[in-house]
Amino acid sequence: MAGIFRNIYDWLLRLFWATEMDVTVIGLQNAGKTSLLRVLAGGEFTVDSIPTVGFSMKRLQKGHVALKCWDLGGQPRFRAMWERYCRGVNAIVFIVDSADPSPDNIPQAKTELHSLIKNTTLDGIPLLVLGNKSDLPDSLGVDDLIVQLELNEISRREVSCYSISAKEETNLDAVIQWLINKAKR
Amino acid sequence: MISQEARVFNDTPLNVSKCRDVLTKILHTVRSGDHIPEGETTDLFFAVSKLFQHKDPNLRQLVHLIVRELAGITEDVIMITSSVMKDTVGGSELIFRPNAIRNLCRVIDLSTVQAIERSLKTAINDKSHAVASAGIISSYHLYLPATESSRRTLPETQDALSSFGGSSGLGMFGTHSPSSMPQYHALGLLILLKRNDRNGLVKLLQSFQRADLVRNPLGVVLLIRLAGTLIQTDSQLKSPLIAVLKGWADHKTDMISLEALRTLAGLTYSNQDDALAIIKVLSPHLQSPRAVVKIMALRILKLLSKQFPSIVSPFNRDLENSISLGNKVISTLAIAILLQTGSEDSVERLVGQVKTFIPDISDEFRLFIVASVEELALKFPKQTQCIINLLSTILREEGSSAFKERIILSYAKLIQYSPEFRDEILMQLCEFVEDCEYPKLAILVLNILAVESSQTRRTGPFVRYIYNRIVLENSNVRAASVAALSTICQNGGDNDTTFQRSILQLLTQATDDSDDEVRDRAITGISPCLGLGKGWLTPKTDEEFGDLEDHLTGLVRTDSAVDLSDWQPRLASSHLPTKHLETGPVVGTVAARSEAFSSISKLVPMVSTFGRVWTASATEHLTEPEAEYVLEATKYIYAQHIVLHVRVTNTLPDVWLRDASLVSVPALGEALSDHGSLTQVFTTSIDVLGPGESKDLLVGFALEEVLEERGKTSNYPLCKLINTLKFTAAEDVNDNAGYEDDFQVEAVALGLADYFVAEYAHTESWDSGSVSEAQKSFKSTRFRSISDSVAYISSNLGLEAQAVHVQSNQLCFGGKLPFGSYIDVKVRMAPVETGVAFQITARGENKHALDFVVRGFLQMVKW
Ligand SMILES: Nc1nc2c(ncn2[C@@H]2O[C@H](COP(=O)(O)OP(=O)(O)OP(=O)(O)O)[C@@H](O)[C@H]2O)c(=O)[nH]1
Ligand SMILES: [Mg+2]
Repeated sequence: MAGIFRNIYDWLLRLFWATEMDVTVIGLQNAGKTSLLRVLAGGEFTVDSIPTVGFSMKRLQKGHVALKCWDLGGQPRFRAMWERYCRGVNAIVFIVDSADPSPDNIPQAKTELHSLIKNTTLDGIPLLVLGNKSDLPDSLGVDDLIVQLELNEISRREVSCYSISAKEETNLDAVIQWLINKAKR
Repeated sequence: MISQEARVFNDTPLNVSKCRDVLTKILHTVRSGDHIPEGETTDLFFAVSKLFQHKDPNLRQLVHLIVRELAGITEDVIMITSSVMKDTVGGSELIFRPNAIRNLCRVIDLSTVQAIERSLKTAINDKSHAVASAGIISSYHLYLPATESSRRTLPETQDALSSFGGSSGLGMFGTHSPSSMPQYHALGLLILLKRNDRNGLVKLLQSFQRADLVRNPLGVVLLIRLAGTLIQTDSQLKSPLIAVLKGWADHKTDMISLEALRTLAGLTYSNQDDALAIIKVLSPHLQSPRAVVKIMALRILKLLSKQFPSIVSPFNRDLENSISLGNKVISTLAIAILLQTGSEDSVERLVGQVKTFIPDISDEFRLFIVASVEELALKFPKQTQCIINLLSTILREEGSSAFKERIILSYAKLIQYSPEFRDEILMQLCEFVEDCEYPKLAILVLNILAVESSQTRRTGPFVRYIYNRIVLENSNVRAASVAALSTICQNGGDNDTTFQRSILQLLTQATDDSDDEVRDRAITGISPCLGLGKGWLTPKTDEEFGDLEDHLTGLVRTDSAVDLSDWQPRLASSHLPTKHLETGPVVGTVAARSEAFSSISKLVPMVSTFGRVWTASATEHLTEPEAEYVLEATKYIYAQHIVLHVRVTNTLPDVWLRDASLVSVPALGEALSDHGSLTQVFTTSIDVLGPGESKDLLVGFALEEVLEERGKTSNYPLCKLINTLKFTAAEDVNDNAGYEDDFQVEAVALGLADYFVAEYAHTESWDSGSVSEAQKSFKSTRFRSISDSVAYISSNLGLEAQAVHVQSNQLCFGGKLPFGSYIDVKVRMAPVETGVAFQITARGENKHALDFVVRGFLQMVKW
């Protein structure tokens, strides 16, 4: 008898208190995905971070929410696999290097983003677009990103766009807050 | 199915114990060889890869085990590289860490391999034996795909080898504590890394030959095997290494002692005392109560007894007792040794034992025993009757087709060695075929009957058995019977025309058979016996078809009417190597090559003093065309010199060869080989051979001069030249380091055909006062008929039609060696049971040259 109450209690606790959520972090190589997660987990920002081969998993505990973050490699050969790791998650975070001056950067990011969310398997999953490296000069602001990435074209899901810096830890609270909100669905 | 169960991997929260169940199930499926459909592996792999998030260490270890299996099946495995790498670091308390390290080499691809080198090195130097072993093993597996990466772990591996050594000695029964495992693995890797560096291997062996330095018995076994191979490659090492091996043979660990004894027993000794010394150490093992030890000891005894049969006799009593011990393997080995070493008077008793023993043992052992029995019959021809009786008894036993086939083949061999038993053996085979359940064996027997029965006193009885097959069996066997009958008929059927006619009648009946193969064989069998269509039934050679095709294409092109009357098959001249370099026009690539040769031979001034080229061989490949370095060789024969011209092509995209040279030495100890006295007089080298480049190498030899009354000649070698390309490989042009390497390529054979140039045969010269003669008779089993051998000899010696006179079973031709006058050659041939018998006679002025031609001919035909 006591066991049953114990189970129910655990269940209630999990329901109202401890929540676990899946988040997939994607974006072109060198955008700063791994750096951002390292900083969010309380680690040091490092300049010479090695490219992610495949994916790696980072667990973040924010209050009563445990975020399981799937950090995917951004190199072209891994992009075909993004979709699989986005299926069924609570949120997709798409990171752009907003200070990369190369003319291909933003158009490429736009193409990859749009071809990913076209997949019906990912319908309805909220999307957070982050323009990273705002500490660098000549980085694109939120408004420019929205226009250049054609975020207004995206329908059937919630889309937000923030400008952040993993290095200077700018605006990271907003990111956490946005993510945690998605856990309460 | 599996991917359905794998859904639990996506549950939140994750049910760990359920996941482990499913993972175990998957592991079992994959390991037991069941196939997972292509589409499912991808899904499964992704589901599994998500489990990397979970902290439970046991679950994680299972995940790594699954990754290990799936890595070979799905290409998506690259996705988990980062996750696997993350698992390779951390304390040694993490049970999955070694698994992760072992997986490194499986998930990596060449673009990421450098990223793991550091992880490997750290792992190899880890204090935990499991981690260190895992690192070494990963590096071992990287050797093929990424040799350089593997090579860079060499210093760490060397450290591990000594740091896990300790000197605590072995456990009581040689059961080794797992903590010494890295030694075994490290030795394996070091031997692999140094496999092209013999000196390095010798040093490695020398530094660890003190028994207590390597604690792991498996490691010592590796060293013993290394010693065994080193002895084979360098005779100078033989006596020091034998001493080392003897030390190990005395080791108290059975595994080590037996391995050393086995290696020692496999060497050749000139003195029986060496074998006795081995036996002394071996005998306690022979008494061992542990079956494995005893079996191994018996194997070693058997190996040794091949060389020195008499040393077994002190053990005869023991061996005979072992037969009844109840262990099949031991009994079989004991019998085999007794059979192998038994004396003539013990044969009968042994055969009796085999008879009672055979029904109880499995097929594998029976095959072994039949082979020993056969050897015995060949050794003691007087005992053949007794052995035939044995074979006929065991042929009637229940048994697999492999077993029976082996017996039939033994019979066939006995017929050849003891023809006086032909009738009896064939009769037994006939009885066997009467109720033979295996069509394949029936066909085999019929083929033997076809060939052998015409050599018996009376073929009639055999024909009856063969005919019965046509009436009773399935179509395959019927076809074989028909073929057998027609062979017998064509062989003359006892020279009895009525008998021949009755066979023809049987064959005629078979032309109504329901199976078309049987009908076809019957018809092709009848025709030659009736003297019908002789020409069109004999098979055309391939060249003739080629010529015919050329002829027809020509007709099609010129649009003329098809008329075959002017088509004459050219006499197999198209594939003859072009010889006479200086006479007559030379064709195609040979011309191009000889041009290349004359220009590069100018670089070696000495060549111009050799005189004119006597023959130039066709170019032969010394490597596969897809090898890393492709070598092609052409031989140039001069009166007193030989020049080997080798063209080297470097097909590797990113390797530069420096100081490449060819080492070419006569093969020693080859049967029929005679390397005269070949002295190397020059060799050229290539300074740099870049990717994709081809350059030439020359090696020149001088021949020994032989002076005779009637002029001089040379001592021409008849042997193989073993070739090795030596070079320093570097990864870019200016790299002065590089590493030295040897590349062994095919040997080049020097035979009569290289020296002998056929000329028009003067039939009249044979009896007209030639001074000397050399003659030899021998048999060769490589030809089935006289025409086979004529074709072979003509094409080998480049005998053009005008140089040959083929009369009844006699080939007359003539020609010259670089020195001396014309040599007349007559070869008589006669069919014998086992092939063709030859008698070659050479006449001419120069005795030495005649002897040479005869020897060269023998070697050419026998090789
Ligand atoms: N100045 C600046 N540099 C950053 C910031 N975030 C990341 N970087 C740098 O950007 C580079 C790439 O960072 P990573 O986090 O490895 O990039 P990634 O998106 O994980 O790359 P892949 O794993 O290859 O897909 C590193 O040199 C980081 O130091 C930032 O906010 N400001
Ligand atoms: Mg990354």
